[in-house]
Parts: sequence; C-alpha cells; structure tokens
Amino acid sequence: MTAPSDLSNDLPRPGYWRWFGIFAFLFLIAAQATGLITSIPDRDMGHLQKIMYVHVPSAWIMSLTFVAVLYYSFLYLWKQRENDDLKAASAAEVGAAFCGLTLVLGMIWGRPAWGVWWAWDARLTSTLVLFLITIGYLALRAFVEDPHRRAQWSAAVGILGAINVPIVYMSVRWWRTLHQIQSNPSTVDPWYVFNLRTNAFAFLFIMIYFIRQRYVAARYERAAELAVQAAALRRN
Amino acid sequence: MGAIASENNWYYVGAAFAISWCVIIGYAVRVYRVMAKARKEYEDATASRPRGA
Amino acid sequence: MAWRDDWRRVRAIVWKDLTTEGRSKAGFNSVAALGVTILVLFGFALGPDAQALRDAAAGALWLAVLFAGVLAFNRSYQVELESGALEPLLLYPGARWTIFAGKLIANTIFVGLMLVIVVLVGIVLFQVRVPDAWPTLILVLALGAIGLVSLGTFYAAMASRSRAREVLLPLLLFPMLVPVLLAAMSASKALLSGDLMHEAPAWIRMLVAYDVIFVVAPLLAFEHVIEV
Repeated sequence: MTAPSDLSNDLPRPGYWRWFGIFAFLFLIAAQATGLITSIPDRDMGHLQKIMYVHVPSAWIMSLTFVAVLYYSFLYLWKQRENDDLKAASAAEVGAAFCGLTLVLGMIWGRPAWGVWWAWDARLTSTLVLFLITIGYLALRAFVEDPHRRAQWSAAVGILGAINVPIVYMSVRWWRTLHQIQSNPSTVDPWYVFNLRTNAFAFLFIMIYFIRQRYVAARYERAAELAVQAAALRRN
Repeated sequence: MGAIASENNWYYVGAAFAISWCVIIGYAVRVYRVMAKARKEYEDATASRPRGA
Repeated sequence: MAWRDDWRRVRAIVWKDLTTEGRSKAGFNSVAALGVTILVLFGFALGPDAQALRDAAAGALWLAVLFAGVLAFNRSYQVELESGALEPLLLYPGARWTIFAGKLIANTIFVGLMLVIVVLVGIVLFQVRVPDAWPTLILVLALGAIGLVSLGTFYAAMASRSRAREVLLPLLLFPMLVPVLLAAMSASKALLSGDLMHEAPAWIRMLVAYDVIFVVAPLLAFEHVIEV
C-alpha cells in the first residue's frame, strides 16, 4: 500500500500544537475552577455573577473570530492563496460555535436576572443577528461546490459581514436605549477582574487551538478532494 | 442577599458551566470527526494509486 | 475620459435592465402586487384595531417592501443567466463595478416605484395620518430603499448563480439588513407619530452612513464576485 506521506508534505504537521492543545484545556480547567472557588457571592445577584466567567470571555472570543474572518478574507482576495480561505472558514465556524454559546449563556443569565428567557436586550439581540450572519456565511460555503468560486464569494461575504458587526451593535443599541435604560451587572468581588481575565485568556487559547485544528481538518478535506479527483482522472 | 440572589442561582451557574463544556468538548469532537473522515478519504484515494507511480 | 466611458457603460446597463423589465410588464406588476398582498396580510396579522395598525404601519411597510424586493433582486440577474448573456457581458472591456452600478440604479428605480405604490396603499389600509414632516419621511424612504437595494443586488449576484437561490438570498441578506431596517423603521415610525423625541435625525444619519458603506464596499468587491 502506498504510504500517504508523499503528498502529505503539503499537509500541516501537528508538532507543538498538540502540546498547546493540552495546555489550553488544562489552563481552562484551572481558570474555571479558580473562578468558581475564589469569587464571593455578589450583593445583588448572588452566585449568578459567576456566569460572567464564561459568558463574557465567550463574547470576546466571538468578536475576535470575526476579526480573524475579516483579516483572512482580505488576505485571500489580495494574495489568492487557498489556505487563507480555509483559515477564514475555520475562524467562521469556531465563531459560530462561540456565538451560539454566548447567546445561550446570555439567556441562562437573563432568566433569573430579568425573569424571562428573552428580553430583546441590546447585546443579546445583536449577538443573535451576528449569529445569523455567520450562519449565512457557512450556508453560502455549503451551497457552492467550486472551490475557487466558494473562496471568492466567501471572502466578499465575510468582509461585508465583519464590517457590519459594529453597525449592528450600534443600531440595536440605539433601538433599545431610546426607549429603556440598559442595566449592567455590577459587582463588589475583588477577584472578579482577575478571574475574568484568566478565563478570557483561557478561552483565547482554546479559540486559537480550535481554529488551528479546524484549519488542519479543512486542509485534509481539500487534499482528499484533490486526491479523489486525481484518482478519478487516472481511472479514465 | 439581594433581590435576585437565591440558592436556585446555583442551578443556573451549573447549567452555564455545563453547557460551556458541552459546546467546547462537542466542537473538539466535531473537528476530530471531520479530520478523521477527510484523512480516510485521502488515504483511500491515494492507496488506489498503481504501484510505481 | 475613462469616467465618461464608465458612466456610459453604467447607463447602458440601466437602460438594458429597465427595458427588459419594461417589455415583460408582468415583472414589475407582479412584484408590486406581491408587496400589496403582503401588506394586506400584515393588516390581518396586526389589526383590525385602528391604533394598533397605525403603530405597526412603519414596520409592516418596510417588511412588505423587503419581501417583495427580494424577488426583484434575483430577477435582475435572471435575464442574463437564462440567456447565457453573462459571459459575453463580462467579455466587454471595462470595469466590473459599472455592471453593479448599473444594476443598482435600475433596481433602485424598480424598488422605488414599488415602494411608492406600497406606501400609498399602506396609508389607506393602515389608516395612517400623513405627517407634517412628510418630506423628511420621503428622505427616509429613499435612504432605506438604497440600503436594501445595494446589498440585495450584491448578494443576488452570488445567490442567483448558486443552488437553492430562493433560500440563500434571504438567508444572507436579511441579517445584514438589520441596521438599515431598524433605522428606516424607527425613523418612519417616529416621523409618522410626530417625532416628539427628535429621534429621526439620528436615525437618518445612521442611514446615510450605512448607505455610504454598503454602496462603496459592494462596488469594490463586485469584480471578485462576478468574474468567478
């Protein structure tokens, strides 16, 4: 049997990334444990405040993925390297996951805090809209077969979607605050900032690892696609 | 305790952390599956090459 | 000199799109009829209480224009696709953005006319009292329409050439239009009820900013999308 290694010079090697992945997961466990143990119950919200340790980092990471999509989409249109398209797509998929997570966590926080599962709160609503925009991007990729066309179209859609992010936030916030005051969670916990920062970094490491892994998987998908095409050509 | 603080909040905190881990582990599994499937397809396609090519 | 050539190309595309629509009158008439039908359905959903209808008029109007407009956007590429005219069009020398600009103008005229019809019908059906600030309202209608049409025309360039075009265009377009819809609906609503809080100017500024960004960006990106 021919070893698959002859073409796999092109494929990314795991290398140090495996260690990074292990480190990222351990760091996340440590950061979350520390957060749960050291933080004191909030004056108003009791233990509910702890949800911020997953909700806020998830939201930050979601925004970072949009920046990544913007960056790699521009890079693809400029340099026309397929790998940049795959990186953008990987970032978008990871972004969709964290966007969905941010939404669900926001609702879980909202139920005891506001009494309802959904309240058309500015940030929650914006996150929902951004989630739908990301789904649109992924749907476009799913519906376009030709790789070059898919990459070009995704780049354009990704750039437009990413530049819309601040506009969506602003417009939804105006829509809400013109009619109601927004409430922010406040806290007296001295460990809050520290725990928030460590969890934010933990999520950041996880995000980097996920995007990298998804990118490697995408490269394998692409290599498999090309190999299947080459095999079909040889048979004919 | 304040207006919305209560012992029930632990359920929500627990649910939040549980769901976060489900999403994170779930996504890791998804990426692993995609990679495994692609790798299998790739190896199938290159294995069917005639020897000496 | 190049500008005059570009502008001539834009005009040619506008003329082409408008005449093809004009020859098949069924096109515009059915889209306008659809807009009115959607408005009627909203009337059933939200009425029959007169005050409830008046409150909801702005929102219903914009959604009716949006849903009917989506069909217009895909149709604007249909003619080229069905007759295989897109490749020859791309063979002509010249900047690609002129094709987008031409289609944008043609679609704006198309959707603008539909908007007028839907607004007039809406005023009657939803018992809207025409406000003193109706010139400002017309400005809001124009700015909102431009925002809808620009992104609609751009995304349709892709969706109309892919599988599942009927679902892909709304799926891509609607979330992206949230800011322009919010701004247009809120400004319209405020103006229709006298704008006691002076919200309209802020929303109009946002509409202008959105229109500038989302006319220029698609113009620049169009060549990457139409060539491939």
